[in-house]
Amino acid sequence: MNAVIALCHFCEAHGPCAIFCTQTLRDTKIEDLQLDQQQHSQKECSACNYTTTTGRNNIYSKDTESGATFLSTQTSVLPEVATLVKQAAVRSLSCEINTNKDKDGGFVFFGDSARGHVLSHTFRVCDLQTRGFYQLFSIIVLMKDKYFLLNIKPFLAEHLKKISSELQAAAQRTKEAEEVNYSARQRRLSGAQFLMPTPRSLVELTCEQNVFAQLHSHFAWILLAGSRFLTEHVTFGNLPWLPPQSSGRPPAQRLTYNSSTLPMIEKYEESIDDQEEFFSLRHIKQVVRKDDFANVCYCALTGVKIIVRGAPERTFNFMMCLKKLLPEPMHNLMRIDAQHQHSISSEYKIISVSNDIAVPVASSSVFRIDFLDEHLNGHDVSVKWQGELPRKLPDLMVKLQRAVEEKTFTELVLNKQTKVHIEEWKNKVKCLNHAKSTSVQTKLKKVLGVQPQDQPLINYWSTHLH
Amino acid sequence: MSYEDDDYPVDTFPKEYEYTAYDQDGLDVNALPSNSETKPRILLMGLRRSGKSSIQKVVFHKMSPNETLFLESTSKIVKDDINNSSFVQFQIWDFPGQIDFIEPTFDSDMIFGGCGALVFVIDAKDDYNEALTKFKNTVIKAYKVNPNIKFEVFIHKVDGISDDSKMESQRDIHQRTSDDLSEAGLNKIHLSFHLTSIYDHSIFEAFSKVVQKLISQLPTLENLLNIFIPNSGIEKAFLFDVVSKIYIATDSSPVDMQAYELCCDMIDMVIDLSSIYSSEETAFDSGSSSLIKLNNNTILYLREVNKFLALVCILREENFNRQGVIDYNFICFRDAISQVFELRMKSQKLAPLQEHNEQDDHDLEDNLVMAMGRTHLEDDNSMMSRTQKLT
Repeated sequence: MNAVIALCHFCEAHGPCAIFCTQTLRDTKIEDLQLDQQQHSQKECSACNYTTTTGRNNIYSKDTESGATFLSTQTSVLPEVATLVKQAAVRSLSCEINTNKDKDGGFVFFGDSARGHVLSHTFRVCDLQTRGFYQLFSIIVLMKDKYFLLNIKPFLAEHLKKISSELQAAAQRTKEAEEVNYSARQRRLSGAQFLMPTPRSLVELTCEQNVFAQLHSHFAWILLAGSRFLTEHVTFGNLPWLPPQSSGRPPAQRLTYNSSTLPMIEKYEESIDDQEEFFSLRHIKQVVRKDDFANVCYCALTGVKIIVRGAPERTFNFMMCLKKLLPEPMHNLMRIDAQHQHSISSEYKIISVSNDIAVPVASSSVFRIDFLDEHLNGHDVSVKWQGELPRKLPDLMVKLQRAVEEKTFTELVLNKQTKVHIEEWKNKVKCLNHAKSTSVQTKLKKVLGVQPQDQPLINYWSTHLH
Repeated sequence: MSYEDDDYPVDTFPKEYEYTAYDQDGLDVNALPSNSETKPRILLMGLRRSGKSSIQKVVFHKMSPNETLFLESTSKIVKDDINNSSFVQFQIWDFPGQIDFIEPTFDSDMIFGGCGALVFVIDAKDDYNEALTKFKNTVIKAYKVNPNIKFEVFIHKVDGISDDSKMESQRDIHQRTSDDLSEAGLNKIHLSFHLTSIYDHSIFEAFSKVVQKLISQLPTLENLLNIFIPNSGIEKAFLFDVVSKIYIATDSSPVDMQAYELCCDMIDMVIDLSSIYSSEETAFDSGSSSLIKLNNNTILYLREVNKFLALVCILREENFNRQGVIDYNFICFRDAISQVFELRMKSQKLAPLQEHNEQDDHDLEDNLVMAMGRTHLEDDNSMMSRTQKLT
C-alpha cells in the first residue's frame, strides 16, 4: 500500500506536528537515505520527539516476499512527502476535528489531489500533568489514491481504532497509578500552583519503553495488509459464486473485498487471476476434439449460437476461453451460467447452462457442447453441430489456428497474440462500418485485405460493433 | 485557514467575481458595502497560556474564573457566535497560541479579511519579549491584509501585581510596540492598551471598549444617553448587554470603574434572583426592572430595554422622588432605541441609503430632546403641559 501512516501530536509547547512516520519504500534503498542528517533541526522537546530503546533514530522492517521496506522515522525521509505530512498533521489536529464525539474524534477524511488524501483518526490520551488532563493525538493515513483509501477505510478504521485504544488504555493505567500516589485534589489543596511541567512523551504517558517499536510494527502491518486487503478484478457476466445478474449488463468493474484474513485473499487471487491469465485457446482444444476445435472457433467468430451445458464449475473455464474469441464490446453477447430457459432463445450467442435446463436440439444454427458425467469414447465432452465449415476459412481464424499450433508460444504469449488478432479485426470492422456507400466499402475492403471468406464474420461483428 | 479542494479550481475566477451569497466569512466586506449582514470578527491571539480561552469563557460563557484553570489547551480555532442583540453581533475566534498563523501556508486573507478587531493577549506575569515579537509580526501582516482592523492589546493577568508595576509594564509594552511598528514604517496604526484580569471587572470593561468600536451606531446611542441623563437627573447610565455584562454604550461622562462594577453586580443579582423565582424559562423579560437603594443616598435603577439590553442608572436619592418622569423619559429612550434598531434593519436591506440613515439618526435625537420631560429645570406645571402637548 503506497501510503504514509503517521502519529501526530498537539504539543502543549510547540503546537501540532508529526512525531512518528511509517512509510513503504520499494525502489529506494535504505542505505541511500541520509537518515542521520534529517534529525538536526528538530526541537528539543520530549513530546515532539520519539525515542527508541536502542537509541537509533529509525526503525525499519523488510518484507522479503515483496521486497518492500517499511521505514519509521520522525519525519518522512522524502522531503516532498515530509511537507505533505506536516500539513496533514496540522489539519488533522487543528482543523478537521470531528466535534460530534469529542472524546474520541472518530474518523475524518480530507485532502485533495495536490496535498494528498488523508484519513485522520483523532484521539485523546490522558495525562495528569497537562492542561485539561488530556493530550491530543492523531493517526493519519496519507495516500495519493483517493478511492483506494476510501475503499479500505473499514479496514483502516478497525485497526487504527485498536491502536488508539491500546495507547489510551496504557495511559489510563499510568494515570491511575499516578493518582494513587498524588492526586490532583491533593495538589490543589496543598496550594502548589500548576507549574509548567515539560510536556511528557508518549513513552512516559504509557509507561511502555517500546511503545514506538510497537507502533512501528502496527503501522508496518497495516501497510502490508492494506495492500492485500483489497484487490481489484474486472469481471464480465456472472462468476459462478456471485449472485446472478438479471440481464447481460455491460461488463462491470467490481471491487471484491474480504474482511477475513490474508490466506483467504490469497486463495481468491489464485483462483481468479490465474484462470483469467493462464488459460488460453489451447484449453478449448484440449476439451473438444481437434477437428471440433475449428468448428467451435468458426461458430464463435461468425455468430452461430453456442450452448454449453454442464456443471458451472466445469463450464466456467471453458467459457472464459471462448470469451477470448470476441472483442470486448461484444462480451455482452455471452451469458455464463444462465438461470432461465428463455435466456437461450434470446440474442445471447454464447451461453452456458447447467444440466437441469432444457436446451434446443443441435442444428446448423445451434452448436451444442455437453459436458458429460461419464466418459464417452475417451472424451467427457460431446459436441454436436449440423453445419459444415466452408472450404476457405476466415483470415482471422486461420491466424488464430496458426497461433494455437505454434509450439514456442507460452500460454501468456498466446493470449496476447489472440488479443492482438481480435483487436485488429475489430478495428477493421469498425472501419468498414464507417463507410457509407457500397462502392466505398469495396474500396476499403481492398485496402484492408478483406476477402469474401471473411464476410460471415464481418456481417456478424458489424451489427454489434458501433 | 482555507483549504479549497483542488478538484474544483476556485482560484481561476478573478477576485471580484465571487458567489457572495455563499461568502459566509465576509471576505469582501470592503469590496461589497451592501454585505453588512456579515458579522464583524474579533480575533483573540497571543502566545500559548496567555489566557485567550479563559477570557472568552469568562466573558461570554459565564465561566467562573477559578474554573479556567482546568481548561485544556486550545488545539483549533474556536469560533464563537455572539448574537445577543442586533447591535452586539460578532464572532469571536479563539486561536491556538502554539500555531503561527502568519506562515504562508495559512490563508491570511481568510483570517484577517473580515476581521473587525484583533485582541492580542500578553501575559503580564511572564516574560513578554517573545509575545512582543509575535505581536509585531501579526500586526504587520494583518495591517497589510486589512488596514481597517482595530488593534487592542490586553496586558493580562494583572491581578496580584502592584499598581506601580502594572503601569510600568504598560508603559514599557507601549513604548516597545510603538518603536517596533515605527521601525516597520507603520506609525499610523493606533494601538489601544488595556490592563485586564479575569478575576475582576477589568476584562469586561476592556471587552466593552473593544465591542463598542465595532458598533457603528455608537455615537447615536451615546447622544441618546446624553440627552436622557440630564433630563432625568441621573448621574451615570450604562446600556448593558445582559448576557455578557459588557456595556455597549454609556454617556459621555468619564467611566468610574467602581460604578461599572456596581452595575455589573446588580445585573448578576437581578438575573440570579429572577432565575430562582421566575416561573418562565427566561430570567430577563420585558417586565424586568429593579431598584436598589444604597446607604450613601445613591440609587441603582435597572430597566429592560429589549430582550438583550438593559439600562442601568446611578442617581442621587433626592432626584428619584419624581420616578414617574424618569419612567416616562425611559420609555421615550426605549422607543428611540427601537427606532435605531429599525433603521439598522432597513439599512441592512437597503444599504445604498446609508447616508440618509445618519440624517434620520439626527432627527431622532432631536425628537427625543423635545419629547423628554425634565426634573430640575422647569417647574411641574410647565413640564406637564409640555409632555401633554407632545403626547
